Amino acid sequence: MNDIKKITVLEKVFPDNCSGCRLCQAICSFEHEGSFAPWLARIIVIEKDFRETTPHTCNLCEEPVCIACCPFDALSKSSENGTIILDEKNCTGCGRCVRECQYKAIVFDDERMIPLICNLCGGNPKCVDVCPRGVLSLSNKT
Amino acid sequence: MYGWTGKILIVDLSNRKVSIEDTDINLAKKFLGGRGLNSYFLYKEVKNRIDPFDPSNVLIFGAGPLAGTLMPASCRFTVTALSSTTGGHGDANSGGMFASEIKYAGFDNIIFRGKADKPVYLRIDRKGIFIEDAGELWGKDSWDTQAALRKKLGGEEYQIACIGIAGENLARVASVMHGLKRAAAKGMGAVMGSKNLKAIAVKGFKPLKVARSKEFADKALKILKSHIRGDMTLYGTTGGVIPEVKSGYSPASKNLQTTVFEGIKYIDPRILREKYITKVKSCYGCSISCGRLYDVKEGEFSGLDGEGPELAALWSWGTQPQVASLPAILKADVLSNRLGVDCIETGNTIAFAMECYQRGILTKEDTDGLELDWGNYKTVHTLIEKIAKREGIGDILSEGVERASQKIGKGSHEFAHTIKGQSVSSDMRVKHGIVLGYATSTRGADHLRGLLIDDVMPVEYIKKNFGEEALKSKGVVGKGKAVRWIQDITTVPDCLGLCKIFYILSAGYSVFTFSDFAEMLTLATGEDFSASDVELATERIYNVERMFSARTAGFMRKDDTVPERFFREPTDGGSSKGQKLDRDRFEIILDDYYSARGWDKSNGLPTYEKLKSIGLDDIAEDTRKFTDNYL
Ligand code: SF4
Ligand code: SF4
Ligand code: SF4
Repeated sequence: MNDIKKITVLEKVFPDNCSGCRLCQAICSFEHEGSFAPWLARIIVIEKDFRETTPHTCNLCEEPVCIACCPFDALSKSSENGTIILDEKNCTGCGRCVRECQYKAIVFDDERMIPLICNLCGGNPKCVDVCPRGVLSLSNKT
Repeated sequence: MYGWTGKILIVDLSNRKVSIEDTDINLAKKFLGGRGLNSYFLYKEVKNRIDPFDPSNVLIFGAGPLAGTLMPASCRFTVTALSSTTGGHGDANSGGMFASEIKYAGFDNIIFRGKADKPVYLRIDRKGIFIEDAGELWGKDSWDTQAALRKKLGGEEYQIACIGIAGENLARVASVMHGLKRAAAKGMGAVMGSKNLKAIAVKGFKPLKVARSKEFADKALKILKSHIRGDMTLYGTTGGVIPEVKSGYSPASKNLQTTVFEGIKYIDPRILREKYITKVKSCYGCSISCGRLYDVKEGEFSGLDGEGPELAALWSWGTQPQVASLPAILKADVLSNRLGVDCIETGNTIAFAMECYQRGILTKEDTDGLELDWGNYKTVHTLIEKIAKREGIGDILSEGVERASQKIGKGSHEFAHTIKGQSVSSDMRVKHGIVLGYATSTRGADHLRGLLIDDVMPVEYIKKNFGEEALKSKGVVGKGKAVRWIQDITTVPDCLGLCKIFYILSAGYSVFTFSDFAEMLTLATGEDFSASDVELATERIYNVERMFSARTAGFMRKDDTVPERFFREPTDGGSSKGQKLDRDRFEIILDDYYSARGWDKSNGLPTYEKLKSIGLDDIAEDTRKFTDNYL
């Protein structure tokens, strides 16, 4: 799985640090939900003390904790690009994967009671494209 | 509905009841949203000349139809009320993450009526809409209030607008605060305080839909990509001071006694950037990201941090009181943001008090022993706190320049530079375009609506549409039309929920046209808007605001003027040294402006026929009833 790509959050300095604009979240929710709803984005921008903001993205772990921790085998790994796939009919909405992900990269949809996980938009991540500060990049997972 | 959420939240604070009404599509088409709908609602809600702190005043929040979408910088909300400073139409606009959150909570506007019997805050989230006790929050500054609320409600996702201590104390210079520095000024904080409303905490949960989403997103992304980086990212609005540093000319100095400030080189935005700015910070959806975080790492104010400062803060805490120290300015910036006072009105009031002190109108006996000498930053800091707390001399100064001068008396009014009771932030006496924009703005002195035509001119556009003379500082012909156009085009972002810094200031005035805005509005809402529909809406809004102020404050032609000092005293520096404002020429361009608006030159008010012709029949009828009282 050498050519697995993931979204990397680059450490950047002024004026190219993450500004907290949430355009990545707006476009992600638009891509996947057809509406603007940053809380349903598969990229999570966390703000600290009203100041710094950090985007959290799926790490595409080799041995994903989310898959392992799911009591209902609702999660699996795509053999194609290593992203995490949810089998909705098995998911009970317990939220365990969300809590266990150390990258804080899974969001829980309170409405449908399911986790939302990045699928790299089929290889052309919209968030990477939109980020005005160039904070996000799609790069080889090493 | 698309773009609009289709719902308006009504909060009756007196009876602690909330209700939800549908957004009237016909009104939304006529007034667009945000500021426009707010202004119409205010007109309908407040009918008489009342004390701004009377419970019958309303406080209206409005986010426009594009707010919270993928449209770049769709981050703006407007707060509207009968102004506590002018007594007429009052509104102020702020960015941050609050407008989008109001939309995600499912509302276009929130109208607060009445007054709670004790401090409350409004909470909106998936669980419902609640009017909660704010006893624990009362007395906290704006930063602590927001932090405490997020802690209590258990989420960084709550976006909060609140008042600081200044708003609680009904300081008329108080703003509604959001985040570290986002502020809706123009005295809106005092009205919020008068309602015992400490905060509004919102966590949205309703996905926002636009009508023709694919086309909308494509166009929005195109705008985004064409407009990413520039000086605005590096310096924020403070970049406007760089030319001043280079020329030594500052239009906001020593309560406008001079345009020369030697110390300006020490408050250079480039030094600010190198020494103090650490990170870029953005409002919702913005690629310019003009907000910046700063840190003071050494010296007297070591450990201080905050967000900003804005150009207005460099003027208010720097050039106006002649403070030549960036850390001292940053300290004032933090104080004003935390306590929740508007830097412009507060800074101007302090500069006004300093001039009174300079002239012996105020002495140490009046100032609680403080020395109000120019450049004394400690005094500036102390006064900001006293103003927010209405303590000692701060009680008088918290009233803002106009009312403070009335209370101080002794001829101080000569140095109170206000328009319709709102203070002027800079000296524009030799620039007729700006003068006209300031004089005729619907909310008193105003550096954001109808401004800068002499400075940031879309030269070709103005030449083509209004003639060459409209461009010249002292030009007469075409000025009225040009100012009217600028006032109208700057109204659009306010109504749609967009940022003027993005769409007007940094883009240049003529880059985004009525037709561009109409196109995005059409794609978002699914309703057909032509360029002239949008332009006509802005005209309606100007007329509604004008009529509101006429009804509640009696503002008319006599009030469309600028501080006397500009007619009396020539400037003492810069390329316009020795010049002053010519009264005859001013009256001519004022006539020209009324012609451009189709208003009655004798009183400066829209005529019955004018109001009818732009579809404001209800307001035209009102006019018949109330104008007699004022004419
Ligand atoms: S939320 Fe669904 S996918 Fe996640 S751990 Fe629980 S059952 Fe598995
Ligand atoms: S790649 Fe696509 S799904 Fe993943 S975070 Fe970005 S926009 Fe969302
Ligand atoms: S789009 Fe980029 S700058 Fe904006 S919040 Fe996302 S990662 Fe940060």
